[in-house]
Amino acid sequence: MKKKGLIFLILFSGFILSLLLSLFFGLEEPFRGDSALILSMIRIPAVLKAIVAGSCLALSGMMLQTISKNPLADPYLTGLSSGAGLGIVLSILLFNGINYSIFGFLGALISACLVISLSGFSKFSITKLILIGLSLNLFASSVISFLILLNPDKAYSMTLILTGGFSSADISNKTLCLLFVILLFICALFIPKLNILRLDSRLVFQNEQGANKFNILFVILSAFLTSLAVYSAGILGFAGIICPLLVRLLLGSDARILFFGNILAGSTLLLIANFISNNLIYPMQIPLGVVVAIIGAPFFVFFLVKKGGAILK
Amino acid sequence: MCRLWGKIFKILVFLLFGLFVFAPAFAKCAGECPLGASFEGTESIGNHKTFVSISPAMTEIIYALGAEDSLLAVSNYCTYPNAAKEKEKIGSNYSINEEKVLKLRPDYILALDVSEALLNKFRRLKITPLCFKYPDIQSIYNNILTVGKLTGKEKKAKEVVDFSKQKIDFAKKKAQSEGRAGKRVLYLVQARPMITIGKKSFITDIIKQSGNYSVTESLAAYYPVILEEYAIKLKPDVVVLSHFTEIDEVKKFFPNTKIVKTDAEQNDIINRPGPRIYKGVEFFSGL
Amino acid sequence: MIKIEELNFKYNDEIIFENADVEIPSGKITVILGPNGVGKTTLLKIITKSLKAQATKGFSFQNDFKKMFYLPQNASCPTGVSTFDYLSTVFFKNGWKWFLNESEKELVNKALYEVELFDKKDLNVENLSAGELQKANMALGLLSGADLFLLDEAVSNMDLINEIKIFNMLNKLLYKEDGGVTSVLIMHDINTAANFGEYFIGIKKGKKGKIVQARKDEFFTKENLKEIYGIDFEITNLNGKIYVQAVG
Repeated sequence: MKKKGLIFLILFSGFILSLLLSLFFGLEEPFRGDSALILSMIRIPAVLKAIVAGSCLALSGMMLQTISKNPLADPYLTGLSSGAGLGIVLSILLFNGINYSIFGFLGALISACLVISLSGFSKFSITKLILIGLSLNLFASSVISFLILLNPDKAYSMTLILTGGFSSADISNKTLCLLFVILLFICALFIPKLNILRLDSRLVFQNEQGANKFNILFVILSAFLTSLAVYSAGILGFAGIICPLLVRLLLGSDARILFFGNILAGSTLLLIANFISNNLIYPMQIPLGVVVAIIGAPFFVFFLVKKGGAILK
Repeated sequence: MCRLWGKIFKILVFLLFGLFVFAPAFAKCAGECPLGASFEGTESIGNHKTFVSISPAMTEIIYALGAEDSLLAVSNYCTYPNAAKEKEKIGSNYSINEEKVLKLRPDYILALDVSEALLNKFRRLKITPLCFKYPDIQSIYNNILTVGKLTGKEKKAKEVVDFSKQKIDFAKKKAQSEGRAGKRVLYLVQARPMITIGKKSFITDIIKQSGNYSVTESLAAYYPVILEEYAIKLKPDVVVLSHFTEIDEVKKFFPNTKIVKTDAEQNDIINRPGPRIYKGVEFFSGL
Repeated sequence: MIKIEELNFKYNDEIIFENADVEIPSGKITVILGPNGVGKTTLLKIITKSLKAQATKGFSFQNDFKKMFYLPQNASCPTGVSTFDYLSTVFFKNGWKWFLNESEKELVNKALYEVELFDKKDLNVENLSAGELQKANMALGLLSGADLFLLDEAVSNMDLINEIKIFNMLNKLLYKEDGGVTSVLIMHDINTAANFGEYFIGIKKGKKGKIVQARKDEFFTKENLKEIYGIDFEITNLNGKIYVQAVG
């Protein structure tokens, strides 16, 4: 218990530190002139989006990993990423990329709905869901490659946008916060039920084969979370896999604890990644998705090799 | 003992992997394509050679020199002059119809700064690709002169270049006399994320020739992706947007700055290193 | 008590049960015996209604138990959770609560006490032994309010002492003050089964759908065992204790 408290303290201070760093690094007089403009127009929206995208991805990864009992499950499992990518590419081709994040959001939701309804409500099985999602991902990503090849003049900007970043979404801070808080509230209602799903699914309690009901519920919830993440930060791979795994390594598998752990860890990861992507080769920007994978992968492999027994079991 | 070897093996594999990751940084010169300028010293090749152009700018040059009869086919993106749209099409950089090229059997392929892989594709078909570069306006003039030599229209080529030089000189002087020169220009290819032009782009030179100054000219890339806050700190006098960017997307970052959006034709002029380049200079000097 | 009449079931074309009658009495430990592949697990799944029996005219399913709890052999368990938290999971199923109230905590403690795991309640579940983990799972069953445990080889692969401990525990559960818990076990070790079981269901090999069921003293005859397993047995009865030995 003491150990968990300490880990929470570390996570929280990391979060605050990265928050302050992202907001105020390199600004001489934060509240005057151009600096105020930069703060209100660029940094605060970016920080908000990082928190929203990070928490959403981590939470949705946690849900899917728990219900599928598979550490490989990631938020884009349900064909979300390619659906979102397809939406973005189409919006670039048809509308010159104006408000492409809303198209990403819609694409993500539509593909998730398609996959979930195809995998069936009454005879729902998570394996079926994963396989259908995989097929949709392959299908949609091939279409994306084809569209990019057909339009080489826009290939550069399409590839860039598909790697994800915070400059994309034209959504007001208020709307984003509102959506995020609503989703978090719904998650908080259902999170304790995630604890049931970590039990062996063969332990049948008669008259209560309702575990499937919760499975579908969490899949739908995670699709919404991921779509919101896509809306605010584009398609960021990896964050949704490593955050839940890392937090589980550190904090055990009580969903109630993991809920807060994932929100903190996800936001911190994206804030740090955002900071690095903005400042490493200043004034140029490294695509956010690239940074997430580059700092995330070694960090995660290190933890896995050092103390990965718990999740590999 | 076994453990030691295992460790050594691990370290070696790590080093090897590191080499893989950082190799691109060392190998950046490997893919450069040969300069078209290497034809400068050659004799006039005569007007019986045939060409296929896979670049809109090269097509424009051919038409400007009046050598369109030797042009067998163009790419799907060659839209200027209008007559070019009537020519045979062979696809674009990423999807060249090789069979069509083989049937047409041109002597040369005219390409503008494409990958070595694409050039090799033509070499396998036993057709010589000529790859031109365009880091600045002078190199564009050289390209025009080289194409003049290849098509046997050297005189016309010289006329085109001299005309362009005169126009540019005039535009610059006019801007200076009217006190419009010396502006700090931020040229945005795209607003989200912000893509601008760097040191290697010829547009930087166009802006320079117009008597103005590109605020991002020190960045060492063709099209660097920059931070929005950096763009604000640069305090440009004018922001120029490409035709597919909305003013609203940028207005919030530059509330008190003049923002100019190019139309599709201006965008083509600015982005094509061809004979209409002086119009690009005129555009920037008129800001 | 559960009473199934004229049970018919087949996988695709393979007939598993044909007009079989099955009875599970309350308040006794029932053991299901039979070689691999005759349909022991299938029978349990039909009882839990995970599998649906063919709806023939004479089919009837009569169930007096309130709730059933099915426990497989190697149930997976989460990591990094204390035994107490593992058991408290059951209470999140209904309602919107985040924490257990005092009376629910009391119930968890009681269940832990009943399965003799009270001293290990702060230990993480992944650190429990196989036997202890199955006990913890049975406590889950108790907490869910089940009065019928269906243990599918749940005590196989366990050492002698743990096996005996679990049987003692099951015996105690039969007479729990707030309603006894009946257990049905699938087993392979005939001697242990004969030692602890009171009622037996034998499913015969080869002759599909034939079921032998009886109380302990009537069940263990040479004829019955030969019919079930297809080989000869020697049965020794020492003061009511039955020892079984396969011959040849």
